[in-house]
Amino acid sequence: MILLKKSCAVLIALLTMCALCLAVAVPVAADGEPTTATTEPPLTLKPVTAPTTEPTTLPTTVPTTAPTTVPTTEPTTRPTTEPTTTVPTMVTMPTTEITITIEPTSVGGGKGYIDTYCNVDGAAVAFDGTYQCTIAQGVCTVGVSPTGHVQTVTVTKSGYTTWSGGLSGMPSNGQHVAVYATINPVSTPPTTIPPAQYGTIYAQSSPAGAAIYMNGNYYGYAPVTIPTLQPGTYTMKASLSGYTTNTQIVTVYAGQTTTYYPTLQQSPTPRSTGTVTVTSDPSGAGVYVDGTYQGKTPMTVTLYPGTHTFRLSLAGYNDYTASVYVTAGTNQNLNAILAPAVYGTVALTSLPGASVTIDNAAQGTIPSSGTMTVNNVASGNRLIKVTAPGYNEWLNSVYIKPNVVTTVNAVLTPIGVNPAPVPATGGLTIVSTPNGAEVYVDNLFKGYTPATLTDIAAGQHQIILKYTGYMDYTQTVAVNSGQTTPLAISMQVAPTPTPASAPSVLILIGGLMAALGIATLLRRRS
Amino acid sequence: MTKPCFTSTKLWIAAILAIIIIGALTAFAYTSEQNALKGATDMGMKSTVAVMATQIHAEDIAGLQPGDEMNPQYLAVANHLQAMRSMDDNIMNAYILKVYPNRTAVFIVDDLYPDDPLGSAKTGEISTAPDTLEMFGALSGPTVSQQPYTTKYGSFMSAYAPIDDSVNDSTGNTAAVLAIDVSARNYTAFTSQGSLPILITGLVSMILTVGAIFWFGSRKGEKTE
Repeated sequence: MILLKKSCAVLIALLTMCALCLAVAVPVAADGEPTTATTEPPLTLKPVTAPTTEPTTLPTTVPTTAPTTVPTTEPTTRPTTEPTTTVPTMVTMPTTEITITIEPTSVGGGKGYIDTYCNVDGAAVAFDGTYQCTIAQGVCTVGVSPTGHVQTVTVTKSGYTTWSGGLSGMPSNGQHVAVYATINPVSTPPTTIPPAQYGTIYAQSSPAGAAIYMNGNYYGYAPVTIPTLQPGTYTMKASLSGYTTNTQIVTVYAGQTTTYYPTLQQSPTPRSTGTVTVTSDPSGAGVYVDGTYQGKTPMTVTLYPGTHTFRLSLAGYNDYTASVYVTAGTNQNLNAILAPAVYGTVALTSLPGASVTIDNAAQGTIPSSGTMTVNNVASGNRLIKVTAPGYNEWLNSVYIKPNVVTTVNAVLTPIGVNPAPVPATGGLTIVSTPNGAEVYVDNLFKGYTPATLTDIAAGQHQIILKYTGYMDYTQTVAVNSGQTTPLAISMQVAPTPTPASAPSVLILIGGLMAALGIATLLRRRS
Repeated sequence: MTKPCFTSTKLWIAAILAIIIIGALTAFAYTSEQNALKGATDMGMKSTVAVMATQIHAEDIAGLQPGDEMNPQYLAVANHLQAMRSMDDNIMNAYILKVYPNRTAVFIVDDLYPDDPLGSAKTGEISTAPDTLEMFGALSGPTVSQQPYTTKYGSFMSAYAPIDDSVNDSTGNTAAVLAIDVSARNYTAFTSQGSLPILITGLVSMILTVGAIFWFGSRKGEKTE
């Protein structure tokens, strides 16, 4: 038992250690601060293509930080179609140094000047071995004491011969004395052949013929060679109609030809279509495909493969309906012979003298018997309107049955009399879990839950509740006149997207399987 | 007397092995989940900026110079960028850069300028974002920052896409680069979601496994006694 207790204690310590190790090994960047990812993210750019041969010279260093020089802003000039390798003009800081005047350490009796002229800028001037100044713009002026002594002027620069000479005399107060020095480059025999200065990019695409762009500028159709390029990195693009575009960054080395061989993938082909030529007898019928009006016959409709429902409609004729299976790349003919419409009879009872129209066509007035019979009314839904002076209009859609008498009773009510003084509106009381959801009635925003809505027209209404992090709730509710309908709605939490590669369940199963395996092994051995 | 010790050693070895295996699986799951989320987010950003770039014409920004920030041409482009950006609350800024072959990127239009002249980049200002390679690569196609970065304007994750001049019937050369910024905080929060459950799952698995090992191991020891 003691051994068991000790084991438990050590086990707890071990688990704690493991948890700490896991936490340290897998950093959680949940604080939102930009963190350096420990794992290399997938590169969006292919890095660099290897040169065709090993470079004999080191590539030029590509600056990775923003340059400190300020380019002139001609950035918005339209690019020319000619392939150009325009390098932006850079306004650089002046490299020529301003003439330096060094004050003498001890000036007595005024100040004279020694002007040292030299053919090479950057050369160092020394008086009697003491550095004084550097030649800039061909001259260097040093102020000296007229009472002082300068015996030797020396001008030196690395890679050049050294010049030495004396002064004609010390300058008096305010006077200039000139010294002219000429130094020449030291000729050293070349030990190696100077490397070539430029590189080349050779672009060939698969399939050939892609438009090749370098740094966003068109250079021609592959295969294409882009010569005389400064060593460095270039961004390449190959574009060919019907294929996906390829982009890549390549590095050009001096004296080398860098290859750019993009293999372009075929773009997804557009969905194929078929056509149906629709004719009718008589022609001029309206064509509806899957409920959408397309035009009048005769006509040809282009459709995706599959079954489509055609409906042809012409006044005075029965609708013609057919299903057509459209095959890709083929044309089919649909000839519809429209049958004359089937008719029915309407027996309309209403106020004598009232005017009657059916589908806006006047039918006459109700006779003194109170019933009007209208024959040969095309079957189907017809809009019947009955009007009489001093009475409210009676308007209804009536289905006329074929070959039978359809009776219609149109009761007209006098204007100004309100026969039903019941309120025509109702209300809704909506509570939700969670509270604060946005409430929409028939797509109109009405407020937040809990909400009591009044003056809602009696009838069916669509209620939508929206809340961040929850699924939209939609329900059709019947609102009754003079009543308040209560609604209690519990909203469902929206599912969070689960990455396909998160195998947390697999880990759990794997862990349990491992535990079971080890336990079984131990039991079997016992 | 040596038997219990021998059994205990075996239990410890089994426990350590289980911890190593589960730990490795957890780390693998964590990395995969991070990469999947980052990949999906990056792809979304690239798609968004690429579509936005097609809505900007090279001629809209032609001729803009430093100091043009309040002229109608600049404001029209800035408003256009702002309108596109407003469709997605996660996009904090949209701007147009001129990128040179030496990887220098210069601001042309910043859509925040009309509203916040002091907190936005002016025409001609050099971008100090470290995404030089991504901006350069955007001369050819959409790119995205490899990781969030910080400049004087804040911490962002950016996506870039070329604005080509094909509308002028040219050969489709790149006139400029459109960039959008997403808050580094939002980006990191989104790409880190789901990390905690994986770690907890791994830890629970470890506890269960090690507990089972010692539980069954100790029962076996008692039976032996």
